[in-house]
Amino acid sequence: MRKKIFKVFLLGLFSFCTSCFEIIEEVSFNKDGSGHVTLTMNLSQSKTKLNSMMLLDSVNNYKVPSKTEIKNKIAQVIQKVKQIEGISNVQNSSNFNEYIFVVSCDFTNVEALNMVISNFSSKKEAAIIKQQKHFSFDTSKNTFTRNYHYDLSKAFEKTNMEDRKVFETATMTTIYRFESPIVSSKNPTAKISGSKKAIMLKVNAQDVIKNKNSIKNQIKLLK
Amino acid sequence: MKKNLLLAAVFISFVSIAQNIESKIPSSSEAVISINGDRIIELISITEFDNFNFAKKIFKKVNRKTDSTFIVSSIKDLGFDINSKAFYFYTRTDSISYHNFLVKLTDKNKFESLLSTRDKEKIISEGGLHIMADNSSITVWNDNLLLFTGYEKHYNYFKENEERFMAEPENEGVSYYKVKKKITSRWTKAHALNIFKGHGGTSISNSKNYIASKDKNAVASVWVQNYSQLIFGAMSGIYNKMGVSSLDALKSASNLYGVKSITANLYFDEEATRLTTQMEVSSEWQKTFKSFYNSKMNKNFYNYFNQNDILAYMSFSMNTQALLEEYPALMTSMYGGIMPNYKEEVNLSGEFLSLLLDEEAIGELMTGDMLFVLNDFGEKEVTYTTYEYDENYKSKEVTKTKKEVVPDFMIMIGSKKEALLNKVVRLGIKHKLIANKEGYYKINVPKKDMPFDLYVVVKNDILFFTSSEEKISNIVNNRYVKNLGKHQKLIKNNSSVFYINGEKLISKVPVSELSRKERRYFDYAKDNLKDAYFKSSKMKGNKIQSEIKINTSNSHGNSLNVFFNLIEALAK
Repeated sequence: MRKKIFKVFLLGLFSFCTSCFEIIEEVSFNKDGSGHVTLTMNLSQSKTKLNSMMLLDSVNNYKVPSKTEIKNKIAQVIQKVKQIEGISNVQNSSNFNEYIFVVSCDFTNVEALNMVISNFSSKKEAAIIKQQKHFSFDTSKNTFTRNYHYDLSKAFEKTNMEDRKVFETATMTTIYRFESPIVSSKNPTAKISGSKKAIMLKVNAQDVIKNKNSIKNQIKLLK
Repeated sequence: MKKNLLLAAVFISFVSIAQNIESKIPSSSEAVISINGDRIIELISITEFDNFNFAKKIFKKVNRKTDSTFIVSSIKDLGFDINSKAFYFYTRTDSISYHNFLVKLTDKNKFESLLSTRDKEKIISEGGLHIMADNSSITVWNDNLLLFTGYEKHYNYFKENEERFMAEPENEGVSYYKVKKKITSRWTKAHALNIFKGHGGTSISNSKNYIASKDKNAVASVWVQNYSQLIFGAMSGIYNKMGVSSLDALKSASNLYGVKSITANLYFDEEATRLTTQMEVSSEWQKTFKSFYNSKMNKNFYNYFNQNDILAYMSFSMNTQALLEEYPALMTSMYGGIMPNYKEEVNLSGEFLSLLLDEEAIGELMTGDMLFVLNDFGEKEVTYTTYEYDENYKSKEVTKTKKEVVPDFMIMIGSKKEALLNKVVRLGIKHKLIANKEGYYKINVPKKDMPFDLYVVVKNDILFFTSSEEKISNIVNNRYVKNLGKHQKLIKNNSSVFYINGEKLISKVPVSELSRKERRYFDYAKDNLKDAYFKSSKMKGNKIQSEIKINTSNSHGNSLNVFFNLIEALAK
C-alpha cells in the first residue's frame, strides 16, 4: 500500500514532464521497384516520463505493458514480417534506455512493402491498407505515390483531452531515396535534396490530425 | 370562527408535512443522505444559479428531452421544492435492495410536464396517488411529495426460493424470469407505498445516533448505520454468486472493518469548504485502533520542517509494533466470522505469523512515523537522442539537451535501528551502489531511471532521503532552519495529514506545458483556491474524526459560489 502511494506520488511529480515522440520512415528504392525500408519510433524525448510510467500498472486507464510484453509484441511482428513473400534481411533493435525502436528490411516490390506496413495494424485495418495501397510505384509513368486512409481527425475526436496532449508535439518524418532524379512532388511541405535523388517530408502530428497537412505525396521521377 | 379553525388546520397540515418528510424514512435504513436545500438557497440564490451558463445548458437538455410546450428556464420550473430538505436513503430486505429519493414538490404539474409522452402513459392513479413503474424503479407522488425508488433483486434469494415460487398455482406455465419480475415489482410497490403513507414502521427520526449526526449548518449530511455491514452487503452481490449465504455472514460482517457508524457533513463557509467525517469504532476494536493510531510523532521530525519551503506534504504517525502485535487477533475477528468453517485455520495462521515476526524489531526498524515533503520544482537539463540530416537527407544520430521540471523533495522515515541501517549503507558502498560524501551518502542511481540525485543519511532516529545536497548537508551539520507555524499542531494532533499549498503549487506549474483549457482552469484556481488539507485525528473516546478543508478566496462571497464559478469556467 505504501509502495503504491509512493508510486503515485512519483508519477504526480513527473506528470508535467513533456511527452513527445518522432516516427521516421526511410525508404530507398532501386530502379526495378525493389529497395530497403527502415522504420524508427523514437521516444527518447519522453524517457523521463516513460521511466516513471513503467513503474505503474496503468495510466489514464490504459494498462502499461512490461518490458517483456513489449519485447514479445515486437518479436511477434518481426516473425510475421519475415514470413511475407518478397521480404528479406529483416533486422530490428530495441533500446530501452532511450526508448528507440527500429525495424528494417529489404523488399522486392511495393506490394511487399504494403504488407509490412499492414503488419503493424489490426486485421481489419490491414485489409484496408492492402486495398488502399499505401505505397505504389507506377513504372510506366515513373511516379511514386505515398497514400494513407486513416481519418485521424475522426479518431482524434474520440480520445479525451489527457490523451490528446501526447500527440501535440509528436512529429512524423518520411524520407524517400531514388536512383533517378526527382522532377516534382505534389506535397508543398516536402523538400527535395541537393542531389535531387532524395525527398524529405516532416509534419507535426497535430497538423495531420487537424487535416492541415499530411504525409501523402506524389513524386515524379526523371525517365 | 369556522374560518379560523380551517386556517389553523391548513397551517398545521403544512407544518406536519414539513416535519413528516424525514419521519417517513424507516429506522432500518442503512444509509441516509440529507440535502439541505434551504441552506443552499441562503448561499446562492435561485436567480444567481439560473444565470450560470452550465445551468442554462442543463435546462436546454431537459427541454430537448420533454415533449411538452412548457419551457424550463429556472431550477424552480422543475416543480421540486428547492427551499426544503431532500433525502436519499438505502434500505434492504433479504430479497431486494432499494435506493430511495424523497423530495417535496411545489408544483406537481410542472414535474409531470417534464415527463415524456411514453412515461405519461404509464402513470396510474390509486387512492389519490400517482404511480409510475418500470422494470427497475417506481415513482410515487401527490401534490406535495415525491418518492422515487430504484431496486435490485438479490440473486441468491431468488435462486434459493425458485422451487417454492414456481410451485404456486398462479405461476403455472409462466417462466421464472417473468415470475421474478412480477414478485419484485409487487414487493417494491408495497415497499414504496408503505414509506409514502408512513406505514414503514419506526422512523429514523427516533434514532439518537442519526439525529446527533446532523448539523443544521451543513448543506448536506451523510449517515451510515454500520459501515462494515453496508460495504459487505454491497459486495454480497459478488459473494452471493460464490454461494456464501449472506444473512449470517452479514451479521458477523458488521464487525469486519471495526467501524460502526459513519457520519459526514459538508459545509460551504465564507472562505472554506469543509467535509467532516466521524467514524465510530466498534468496542472490540477500540484497543487496537487506539494503540495503532495514538502514537506521537518523534519530536526530532519537527527540526527538519520549514513551512516557507514546502509545496505539499504527507505525514503519518502510527505505531508499527502495535499493529503487528494486534494483527493476528484482528485476522481472526475479521475473517473467522464470515468464514466460520475455517475459524481454526485463520486463527492458527495468525499465530504462526506472530511467531515468525519479531514485532519489536520491525517496530524499531520502521517506527511508523513518516513525512514526505515536496519542497519545490526545479529545472534540470536532460539529454535525449534525435536525428539530424545532411543535404542528401542521410540521417545522423545526435544527442541534444532539453530542460525538464524535476521535483525537489525530502522523505523522512522514523527508525531506531541506526546501526543496522549504517551496515546496509556500508554494504552499498562496498558494491559501489552508494558513494560516501562528507557525513552523508549519495545513491548511484542511473540517470535514466531518475532525473534527480538522491542523498541519504541516518540521524536522530530518522532515515532521510532527499534530492537536495544542500539540505542533506544542512541536516548533517545541524544547520537546518526549522519553521513550523500552524503545521506543528496539525501534525502533532493527527495520525495523518496531507497538505497542499495550492497557491504556491499552481504558481510553480510550467504554464507552457498546459493546454488552453487547462490554463483557464489553472488561472481560475490560482485566483480563488488557497491551501487545502486532509487530516485524520487520533482516536478520541471511540471516535476517529477526519476533515478535508479547502480554503478559498472570499471574492465570490462564499465557497459554494467559488465552486459554481469554477464549474462555469470549466464549462466554457
